[in-house]
Amino acid sequence: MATNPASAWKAWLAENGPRLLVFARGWGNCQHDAEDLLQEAILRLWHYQEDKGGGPPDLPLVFSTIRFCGLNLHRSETRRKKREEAIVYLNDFQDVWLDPMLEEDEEALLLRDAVERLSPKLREVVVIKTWGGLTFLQISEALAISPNTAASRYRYALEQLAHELRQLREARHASA
Amino acid sequence: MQAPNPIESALARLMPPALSDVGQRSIEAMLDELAAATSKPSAALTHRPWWDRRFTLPVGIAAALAALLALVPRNPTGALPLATDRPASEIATGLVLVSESDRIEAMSDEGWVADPDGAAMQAVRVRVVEANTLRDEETGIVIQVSDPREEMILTPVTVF
Repeated sequence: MATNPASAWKAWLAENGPRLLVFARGWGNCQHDAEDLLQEAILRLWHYQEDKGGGPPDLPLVFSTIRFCGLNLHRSETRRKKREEAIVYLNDFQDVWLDPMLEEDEEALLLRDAVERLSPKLREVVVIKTWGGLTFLQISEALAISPNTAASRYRYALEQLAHELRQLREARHASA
Repeated sequence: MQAPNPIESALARLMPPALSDVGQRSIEAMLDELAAATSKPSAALTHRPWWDRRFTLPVGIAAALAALLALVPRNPTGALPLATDRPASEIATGLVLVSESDRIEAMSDEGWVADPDGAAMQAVRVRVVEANTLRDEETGIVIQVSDPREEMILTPVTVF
């Protein structure tokens, strides 16, 4: 008996939904926007996969498709609102990109804010590498950059995060 | 073995949040409809889900608009010629549909507008007259039914 393809996609979504959602957050102002973006990407991928057996796609392709949809959305929104490219995310604690595994994990909360402040190019590599679990080679396929560029962006992002975390700690100690 | 970067360790303590219930349900419903459409290819043409139409409709509109624009220069002063002519068919009431056509009477560029999602759309207002010619088989009377309507065609602007 043939398996319902929707079941395979749902299982795939249950496994990968959060990591794809956090990547989609790079182009959405809130979780709802990111979910819409993810849905649009899944729709495109469904049709794309029809010629390839209809199964769920590989993650690099999904990240790439989300990025494509996100860029389209971002371009139209940017033109419409005539606003600065930099977007302020996550002042609302109910709507966050990432949740710390432990409550009261102050450093994780600081780091979360620092990740959100990374430039989009650095942030997307960090998100795909850390929570997407892709290799630099796979990241290079997803983002259409060389593996060396992906690796150097990742290293630079980690340095920037470490620097910002240090500064925030020092500021906290100074004010304590 | 290389020790993990402390920042990487700290990042690992952050977890991506799950999809909201509404988001999850919406995507799963879409997958169900897509799967149903795939398993019934003939039904897919007439019962495509709204999110599918959302992406295919602009393509159809663009193609229709391109066809209309191609017709305009050939008859710039008067109403456009018949855009579509379909063969005659018999209607159950005894009337024979001799011909049916959609005639473009006027078309004007309305400029750019924003759709509810904020995306830029090119708007074209089109006045169409649908004319159906019917013949009564018993009496031989020919009737023409005209149905004017006005449509706003929105095409996504993707190239600037």
